[in-house]
Amino acid sequence: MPSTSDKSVVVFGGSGTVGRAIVTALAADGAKVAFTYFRNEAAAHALLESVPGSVARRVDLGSASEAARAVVELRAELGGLTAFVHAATLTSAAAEPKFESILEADEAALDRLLAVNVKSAFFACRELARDFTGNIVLLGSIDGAKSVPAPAAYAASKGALSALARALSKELGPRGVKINVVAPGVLEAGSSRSLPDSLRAEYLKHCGLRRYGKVEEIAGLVAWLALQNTYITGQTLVVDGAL
Amino acid sequence: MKLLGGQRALVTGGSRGLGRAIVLALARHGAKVAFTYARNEEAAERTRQDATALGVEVLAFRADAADNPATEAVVRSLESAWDGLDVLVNNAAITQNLPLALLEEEDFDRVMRVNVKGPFLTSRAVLRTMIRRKSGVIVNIGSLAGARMIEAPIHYTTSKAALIGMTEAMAKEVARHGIRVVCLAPGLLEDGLGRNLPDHRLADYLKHNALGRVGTFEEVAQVCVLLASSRSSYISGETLVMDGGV
Amino acid sequence: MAGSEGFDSFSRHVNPALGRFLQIVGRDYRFVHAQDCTLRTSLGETLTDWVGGFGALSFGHNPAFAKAALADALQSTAPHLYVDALNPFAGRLAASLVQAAGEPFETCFFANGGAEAVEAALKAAVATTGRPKILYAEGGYHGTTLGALGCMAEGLYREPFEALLPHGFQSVPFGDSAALAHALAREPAAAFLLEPIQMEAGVRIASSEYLVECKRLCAASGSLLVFDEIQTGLARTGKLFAFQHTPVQPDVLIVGKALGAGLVPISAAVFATGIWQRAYGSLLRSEIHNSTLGGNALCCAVGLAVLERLAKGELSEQVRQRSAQLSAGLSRVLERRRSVLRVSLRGLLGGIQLRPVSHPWATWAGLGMPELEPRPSSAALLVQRLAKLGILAHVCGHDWSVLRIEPPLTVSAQACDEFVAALSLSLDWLEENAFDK
Repeated sequence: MPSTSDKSVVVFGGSGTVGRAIVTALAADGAKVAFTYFRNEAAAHALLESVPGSVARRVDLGSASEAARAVVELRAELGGLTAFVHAATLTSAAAEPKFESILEADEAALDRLLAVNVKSAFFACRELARDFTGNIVLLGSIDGAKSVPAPAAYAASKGALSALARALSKELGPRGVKINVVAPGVLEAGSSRSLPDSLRAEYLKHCGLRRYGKVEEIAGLVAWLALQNTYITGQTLVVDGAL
Repeated sequence: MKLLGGQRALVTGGSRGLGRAIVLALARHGAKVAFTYARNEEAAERTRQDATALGVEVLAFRADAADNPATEAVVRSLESAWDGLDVLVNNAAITQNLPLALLEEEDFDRVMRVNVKGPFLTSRAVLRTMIRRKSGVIVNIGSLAGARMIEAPIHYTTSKAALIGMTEAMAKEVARHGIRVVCLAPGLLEDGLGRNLPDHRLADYLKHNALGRVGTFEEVAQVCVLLASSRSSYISGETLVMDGGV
Repeated sequence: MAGSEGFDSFSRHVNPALGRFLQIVGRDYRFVHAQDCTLRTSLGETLTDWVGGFGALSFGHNPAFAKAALADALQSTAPHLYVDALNPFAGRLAASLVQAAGEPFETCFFANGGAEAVEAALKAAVATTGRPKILYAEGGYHGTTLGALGCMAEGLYREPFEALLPHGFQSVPFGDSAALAHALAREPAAAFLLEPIQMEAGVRIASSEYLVECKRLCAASGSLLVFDEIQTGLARTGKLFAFQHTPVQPDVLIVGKALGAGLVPISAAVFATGIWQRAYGSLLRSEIHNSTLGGNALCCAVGLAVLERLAKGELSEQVRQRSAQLSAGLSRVLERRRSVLRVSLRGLLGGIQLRPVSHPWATWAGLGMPELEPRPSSAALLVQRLAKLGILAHVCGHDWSVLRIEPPLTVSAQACDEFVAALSLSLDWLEENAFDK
């Protein structure tokens, strides 16, 4: 089993609900973590305190160049990079964030969603494609992996990550890069908040384990894939309690 | 980091190869391990000793996993010895390198019996206890062959694809009792069932493998431990392919 | 013997490619017991041996009489190895062999394997005649050492070593005495080497007329006629030697395989009067061709026991009876079959030649082994079917369309019937699955 000491990980969207749990899990597994935040400065500060030795930086992941630069600079600050996790996400393509129908989608909001959810991951990976070897984990969603009611833009962006992981697993595999997607179902906290109550109820009815997932149940898997994984690549791991 | 401290596990086909690696990995992570084997007494004894040396209790049972009475007997023994089971790994499987022209009914039946009926019967016997206790995990060892379209013997592939359906249906039905069922589908492994591949087929597989190598038994065993552990507490019904990027 | 490590070690340390191929085609049997015509694997499966060690197992596995002779010889405190000395064991065996072979055979050179005996014959021929030329029948298989390899049929066995092979070797078509005449006329040869029945080429039987003509041509040209009877000798064809079916005596007779009863390695090149003397008759030349272990006591003891067993002629008679039985059975089940091209049988040496398969899924490419194209797959499929019915069989080395028939000579009448029955069932399957209607 690979040792987790001297491991360093960059996490995009570390201040989000799932992101925080991931940063915490990575640190618990012995890694040094640098994470980005954008709006939730308070959460970022709290995380810095609860995870001593971690590093935070405010980055607008809506900008591809900022995303790319963040990878370079955070990697340098950590003194190396063993894994990269993308956990930043926007859930809505409506002008006012909601669980929107396609008719309610708005181009500007869609562009922003795609920029944060997909492009920032794409350009981060592009940066890493130069000379990185290690694991990459992207946070997807069942919305992008299974046939469930979902906002089309969000679903498309998460599906895109699966295809990105498949393609990059092929392109970067020869240098030893393994890239996978973890696709959670509905969680107790996090972006699932925007789910209408009726859909939440339906989910519980059809979820085998009859409960929402805990954020820790996602974070632990992400940490394993980031720090311990040596052979899984190109996969989308659905974590939905047998939906 | 022991992920399975205090747990009780049963592995079918645990005396050699991948099964043995799984037995040892479970033991290393603190679980008591029982395993079945079909025939090889020497190998079974070696594995039993090596696993015991890791500091846990190990039990070996000679039993054909597709033999219902024998399987029931093993599970009953473990009920009584260990008061139940937390983890079942359905690993025992066979393959045969036969092209369609030579693949006859008896060959098809044999592979389906060991690779599909065996896991079903063993799961059912173990679930009887797991459901009463409202906890447990079943890991079915499938194959990339049953999950994606690759060149592989027809009956073997059919049997491994069947395991995926079994995993999903079983997961659905027993999730309400708090039990998880998952499928772990490795690609080609060092010295595994696929070792009878002609050279050009192996070369072709490696050419199209992103990481450029076959997997090791140890790597699969580590993922098996992960899937059995509480880290995977929200994964069920899922098939995890680990193939190095085919 | 210990468990499975030896079998695994073979695949690791002896022949990895063969090990893998056997695994792939499901022929990686772990034989742990054998007696007479039966083999048993570590999994308890039994098979009847119709491969017969490619002719070495004429007396079956673990033949009691040969093991007794070996045990006796082991007890003896006389030397078992005689180097540069008078060797009574080699002497006795040589006397026995020349008597069995008949006039005008006089001297023997003992070696440890068939190819070695072939080498001895070729070298003696050159040393005797002073001619640097060897003619050989195309399609033969005399061994894989360099001299014998020079007489190998074109193809797999020979091709990587072409540059090393002797320049003075020339092939003439088997069965074509006019071609032989032409070659001898252009340049007289030291020898003409052939098998009276070419086994690996697909059991091609030389006609009596052809052999008579070969003898006449060689005699006229002063070339030695060399018969390789490593497979055909020692009662295999129903007479002690195949040449005894014809009016011809070769000048040199090569014997091997069954001479050691499948237990010990021994072969012999038997020379007509004067050949060895002319080749190696001077003091200086007397030992320039030699073999340290050739003629060792243990091997000669077995050879003597073999000749003694054959001397009475009972086994030859039994071979003729089984052959007749087999021939009748084969006629019955093979006639009018669209899959069968030809059946050859002399004594218990035979072959069944099949037509090429016509169903795409039965070609090597269809079976998932395109690297074996364009060789025939028909007889190999027949081998696979026979194995399912408990019969171990094999194909001819140079012609994969021919199933070889080469059981121990001690094969029972019942086993012959079972073979014929199994053959019939197997051909039914083949015709249903591999040939067009």
